Amino acid sequence: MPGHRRGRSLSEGLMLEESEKGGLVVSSVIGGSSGNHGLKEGDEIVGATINFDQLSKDDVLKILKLMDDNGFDKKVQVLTKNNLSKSMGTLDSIKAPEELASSFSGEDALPSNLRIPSNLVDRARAERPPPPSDSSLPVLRRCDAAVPVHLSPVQTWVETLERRDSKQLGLVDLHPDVFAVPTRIDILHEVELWQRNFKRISRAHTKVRSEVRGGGKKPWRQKGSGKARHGSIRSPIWRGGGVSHGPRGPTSFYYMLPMRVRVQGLKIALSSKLAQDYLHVVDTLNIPTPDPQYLMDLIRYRHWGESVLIVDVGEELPENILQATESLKTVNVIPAIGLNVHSMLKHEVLVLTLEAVKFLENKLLWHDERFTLLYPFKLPYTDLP
Amino acid sequence: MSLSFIHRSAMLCRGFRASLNLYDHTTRIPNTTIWLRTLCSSVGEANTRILQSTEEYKFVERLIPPSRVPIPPKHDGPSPSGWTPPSEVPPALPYMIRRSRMHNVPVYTDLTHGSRKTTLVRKVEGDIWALEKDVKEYLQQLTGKDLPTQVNEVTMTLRVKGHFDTELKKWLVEKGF
Repeated sequence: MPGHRRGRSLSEGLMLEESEKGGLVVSSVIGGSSGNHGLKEGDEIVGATINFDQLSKDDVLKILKLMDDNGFDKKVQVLTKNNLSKSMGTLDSIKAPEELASSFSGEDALPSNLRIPSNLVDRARAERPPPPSDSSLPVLRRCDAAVPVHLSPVQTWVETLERRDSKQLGLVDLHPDVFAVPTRIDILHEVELWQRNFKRISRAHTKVRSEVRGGGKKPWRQKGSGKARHGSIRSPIWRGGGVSHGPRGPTSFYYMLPMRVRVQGLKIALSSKLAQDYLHVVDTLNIPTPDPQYLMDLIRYRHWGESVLIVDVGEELPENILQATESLKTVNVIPAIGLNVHSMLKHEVLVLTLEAVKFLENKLLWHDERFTLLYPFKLPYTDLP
Repeated sequence: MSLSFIHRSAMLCRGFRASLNLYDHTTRIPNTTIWLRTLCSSVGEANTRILQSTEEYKFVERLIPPSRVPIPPKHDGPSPSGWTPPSEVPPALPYMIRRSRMHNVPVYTDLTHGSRKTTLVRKVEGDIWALEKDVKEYLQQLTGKDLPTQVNEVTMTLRVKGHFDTELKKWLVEKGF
C-alpha cells in the first residue's frame, strides 16, 4: 500500500491470524493510533475498501493489475459514480461534495449535500445466504379464502425456532389481498398518528384572571396617582396574574378513523414487511429453553434484524417463550388481536405463526366483503369472523 | 327472556314484602294477620316448577341477519334486471377493474359546485395510463370531443369530465370486467 498516511501502515501495525472458520481475525495491534482505522483485537476482517479519489491513474492501474494477477477478479466490486447509491454503506460518512454525483446527472444519483450514517445498511443481512431456490419444499398451507382470479398468492418459507440453525420446513401461501396490497404510506402515516393521538388527554390547565386568587379590588384610583390605570391585580399583564389564552382543562384529542382505513393500514403494514424481507413465518412458538440468550443467538445467527415482534393466536402462549422475552427489551410477544401498525413500525422484524396467519387473513378479509354496519358488531350476527 | 321476567317479578315481590316489614311496625295488629293476596304468592309457587327450554330460540335466531354480502347465483349472460356477472377469465389487458362489494362495476358520477359533472372509475389495478388512453379513445368516438381526464396514481382512480357512467359501465362490462 502506498504510504501516504502518517504512522505505520496497515500491514505493519496489525497481526492477522486465521480463525477456525477460515476468516481473518486481528490477533494484536501494534503502533500508532492513526493507522489503525479503529480496529481492535478480535475484529474479523471481511473486506477492504480502497478509495481511488486521491490516487493517480498509474497507482489505480497498479492496484487493479495486482488484483487481476492474483485471480481476485470475482471478489472485487468496482464502483463507478452511478453505482454510488447502491454501495453507500462502504464509504465514509462525510464526503466532499465534488466526489458524489450531482442530483441532476442521473436517476439514481444522490444529492451532493446528503449525509448518510455508516450504519444505515446492515451489510450482514444483505450477505445472508438465501434459502435453496429449488421448489422441493412442500406447501404447508393454502389460502382458505378465495383468491381473486387475476391474482395469485404470495409465498414465503416456514421456519422453526427449535434449533438455532435448522432449515426451512416448507412454504406457505399468503393471500394477496392481505400480504400484497399496494403500499400507501399516507394511510400508514394516518393510522400511526391516530394511534398516538386518540388516547391522548392533555391535562395542562392554567388559571384565567377570574380564577386567580385575589384581584377583585381596583388597586389604586383611576386618576391622579401618577401610576398607570388598572382594574385588578390579576389581569394578564400583571406579574402573578391569570393567563389569557392558555391551555384550559383536560383536553381530549379523541377521534376515530373509519374502520376500513384502520384495516387497510394493517394490511399495508403486513405487505410492506413481507416486501422488505422482514416477515418470517414460524410453525409454532415452542423453544427448547427459557433462556433469553438462545433467542438472541438465533436472531443474530439468522440475521433477522434488531428488534423482533412475535405474534401468536390464543390466550395461552408457550411458557418458554414468555419467560425468554420477559427480560428482553427488543423482542416482544403479543397475541394476534393485539397486532397494530405502531408496533409493526417500531419493531424491525415480524414473526407470525401459521395460526396467526390464518386468524389475520380471516379477520382482515372479512372487511372486504361485509355489509355496512346495521347495528354494532358487538351484538350477534350469524357469520362474524 | 321469560325466565328473566319471572325472576324480576320475584325480586319485586321480595322487595315489596321487605318494604312492608320495614315501614309497618307501628300499625301491625298482633292477633289478626292480614295476608296480602297478590300475584307474588301464585308466582312464588310456580317458581319452583319452572323449566328451561331452548327450542324457541330458533324463532329469534332466524331473524339475525348475516354480515357478509352473498355471492350472486350463476347467470349466463345478463340477468333479468340487467346485471351482468364478470367474465370467468379476466380479460387480457394491462389493467384490471375489480367489482365493488355488491358485485357492481365501480363507475360513479359526481356533481360539485352545483354544475361540475365528473365520472369516477375506482378500483383500478395495473397500468392505469393504458386505461386512461382507452377511455379517452372510446369517449372520443362517442362524443367527438377530447375530454379532460385526471389520473390519481396513489388511489388508482380515474376521473373524466362529464357524466358517462352508463356508457362506461356498458363498455367495461363488454370488455369482461
